[in-house]
Amino acid sequence: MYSAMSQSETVLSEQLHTLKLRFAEQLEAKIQVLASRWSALGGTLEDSDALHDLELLAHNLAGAGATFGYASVSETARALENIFSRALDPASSQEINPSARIGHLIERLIRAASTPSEPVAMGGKLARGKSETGRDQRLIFLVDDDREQASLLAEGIRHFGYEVRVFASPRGIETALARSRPDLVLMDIIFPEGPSYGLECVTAISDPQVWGIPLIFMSSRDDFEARLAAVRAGASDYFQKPADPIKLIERIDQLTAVNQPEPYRILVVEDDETLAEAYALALRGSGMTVEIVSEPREITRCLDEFDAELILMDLYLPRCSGLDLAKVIRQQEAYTSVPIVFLSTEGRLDRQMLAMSLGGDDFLTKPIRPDYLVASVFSRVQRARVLRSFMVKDSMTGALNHANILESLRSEVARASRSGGRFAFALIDIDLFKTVNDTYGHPTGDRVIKSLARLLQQRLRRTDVIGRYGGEEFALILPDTEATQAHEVVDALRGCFEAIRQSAGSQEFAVTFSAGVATYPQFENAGSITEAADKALYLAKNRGRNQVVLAG
Amino acid sequence: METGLRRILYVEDEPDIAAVVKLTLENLGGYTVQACSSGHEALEQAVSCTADLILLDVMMPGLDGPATLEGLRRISATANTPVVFMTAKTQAHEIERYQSLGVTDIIAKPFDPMALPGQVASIWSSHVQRHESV
Repeated sequence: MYSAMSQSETVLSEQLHTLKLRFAEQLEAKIQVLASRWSALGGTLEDSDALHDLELLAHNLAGAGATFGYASVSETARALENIFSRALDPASSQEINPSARIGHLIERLIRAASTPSEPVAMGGKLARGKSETGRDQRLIFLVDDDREQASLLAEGIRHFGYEVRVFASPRGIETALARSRPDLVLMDIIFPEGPSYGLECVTAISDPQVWGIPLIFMSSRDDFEARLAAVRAGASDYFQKPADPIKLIERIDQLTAVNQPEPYRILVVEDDETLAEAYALALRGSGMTVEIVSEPREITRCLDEFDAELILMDLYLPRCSGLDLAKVIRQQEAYTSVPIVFLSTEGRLDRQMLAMSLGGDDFLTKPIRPDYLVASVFSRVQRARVLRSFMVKDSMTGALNHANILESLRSEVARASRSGGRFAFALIDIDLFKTVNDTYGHPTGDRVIKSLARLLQQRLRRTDVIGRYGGEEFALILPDTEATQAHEVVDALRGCFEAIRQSAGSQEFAVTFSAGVATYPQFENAGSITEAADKALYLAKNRGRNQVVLAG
Repeated sequence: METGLRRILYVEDEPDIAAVVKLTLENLGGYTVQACSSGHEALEQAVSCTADLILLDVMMPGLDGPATLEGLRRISATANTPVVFMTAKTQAHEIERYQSLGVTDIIAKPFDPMALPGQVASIWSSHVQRHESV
């Protein structure tokens, strides 16, 4: 499969080269067009149609140049484009002598066209509005004793912008992993040393710092033992050889995605500060965020502010035992599902059992090896987060469920009242939904609900909260949004939803929604906000549906 | 949810760029690329569109990227298809404006053609991850 890929790769680079030549041939003519349009203007910047043309010409050169190896063409054309677009916008600051500068840049453009730079690797950088990891290229370790197959596979993966280092044996892999910290490891299982040698080497890794690195096993073995052992060795996935390259790349992309999940938040409750620091160090080393509480009475404040996902607690604390503290924590509804792991020198099984019965989830005995601590905490907190997402989200739409949208509303009220901020709350209800169900059947009704959920997820900001309030009813929280803005946003959503052509078999139909919007601080607590939004929604329905009504 | 990216609808008025994008996405990425040279053509094609992802140039004569996006959203076949803008305008306020239009991601021009399929694949996988719960 890969040899075919590498053959077509040769063809590809030839074709690419041909395209580059074609671009190079036409480049001069394109710049000439730009130059003559500019000289036709006689140095003035009055004719806005002509300026628009020039802006577009420059824009296209800026966008294309470096793709075909002309980085300085891109650079110069971009400078030109900026001048043209500023000249078109009277509100913006103008160049002091734009005409002279334009002439100068066009000259430079002509020179740049005759000197292609080396094909620039622009890197796989995305213009995302979010943070990037420091390293541009993601690094992958490939461990396989079949050199030919490995180098073909490596070549295939490199095409997708990864750096790949190939190892013929997993011997000594631990040192290499600790030193280079790749973003992912692809590992064979069968080696000349034995049919499970790959698994054995991974299992033997004791450095907790390298455990967080995603691992994929690839093997011609497809037996249950191999798959089970792979899971136990911490593998994220298992591909049977020969692996489908596209699927493999997709999985690698997922596992090394730039937007890594947020670090897990661990609260350590321990009165011995040196010990607490030691635990924190080990956990932080594996990428978790850690807060330390050494005084039991601080715990309530810390739970609220830190939003811990797991609590690691000493069983014996000054003035208040860990058991009592666990009971205190469990009495608060929001924390009934946060795992509590006890740490103690307590070796007596009956005391351990008691600790568990009071709401502890695990019991670790001191002294504990840092790697064991990290592994126990990691597996628990990971599962807790997944379980939590099941608990708070509606399975059909992925929106928050009723209880949790109300919870979010309450915390938004608290946040806004602390910071003096404002926000809007909207209730959206699909019009005549029962008729849709009755006419086209429930599966179609479900699709209509999902289409609304997806529309909301796609159109709203990341900071907006979406919840499924009832069967065909959604609730939105729009932070930092005024009443009129909120009305506009929801009304735009209404227009989009109405425009979607829903289908059932060969029939097409449109569905609409009505919405009620209430804002904080006009309505000042969660109860009055939902009530006001509900009344406004009722009004919207009464006034003929397919509209948005502002409360108050 | 269907998670494989196979078909891409690609809208670009510059034939040079269109050729290189089609070439690398098809040959390196293994995707099927349907290319349109204008926003109008894209809207005509959209009615029978089965693309998993739409790549849209922003600055085009006639219907530009945002206007084409608006049109695509009104056609049921593409109402919910993820759209990625390709643009040389990548200042923070421009990116913010594009994001407010509901685009899934933005690819900066000029791009490295060899790295493009990987870029598209990773945009797709984070899109799928974001929507896995749907």
